[in-house]
Amino acid sequence: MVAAAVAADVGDPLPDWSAHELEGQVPDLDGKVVMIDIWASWCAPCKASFPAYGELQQEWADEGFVIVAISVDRKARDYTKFLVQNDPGFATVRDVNQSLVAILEPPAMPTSYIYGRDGRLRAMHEGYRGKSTLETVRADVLPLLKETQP
Amino acid sequence: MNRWKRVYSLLVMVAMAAGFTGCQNVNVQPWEKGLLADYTMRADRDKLHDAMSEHIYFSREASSGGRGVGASGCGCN
Repeated sequence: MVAAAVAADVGDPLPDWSAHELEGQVPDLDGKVVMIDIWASWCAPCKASFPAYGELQQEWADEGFVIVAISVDRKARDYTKFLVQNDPGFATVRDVNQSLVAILEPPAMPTSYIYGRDGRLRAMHEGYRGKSTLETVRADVLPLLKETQP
Repeated sequence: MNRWKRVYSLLVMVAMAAGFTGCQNVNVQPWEKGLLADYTMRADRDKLHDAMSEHIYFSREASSGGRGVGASGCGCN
């Protein structure tokens, strides 16, 4: 695998989904506040974050908030098994060749990227530390939900 | 003959240098740690193996009870 020269940074556009082999369907993200969550079935903090992120998705769904969780599992079986056991309540896809994640270059597992309605990266969250992470996510997402679509 | 020895030595040195530099940029990225997180990578995955290893250790070292406690098991204190 060849790592990207530059990791994702604030101001970057949403990834070009079509350039990567993904298992699963990316929902319509046009004009939405998007949180991309990088996760894996072997990552315990990722698993811990799912119920809380599922609640956020449910809470803000009507306001145009969409979570897309990108799995970096190498084996499709691990990915599927995890989802059967832990229904997340938001969209998930698997980055089959780990090519998308190599561009984003998350510094830890999990890492979440929050994009505004303009499709630009506004904030990143490294790891999942329960309440403190959720408070930070709320603080970042709430102002974005109030923004109007460009 | 000396000339061939010198060439051979040079080749060996070049091969060694190439080998060492090959390990220069080996960084496991966070998303590549799936194999490291696998159950089979756990040192305590096989209880029977642990028990056998422990038995061999204390038989060899005369150190029964020497793991995970304050003393060494030598009876010194």
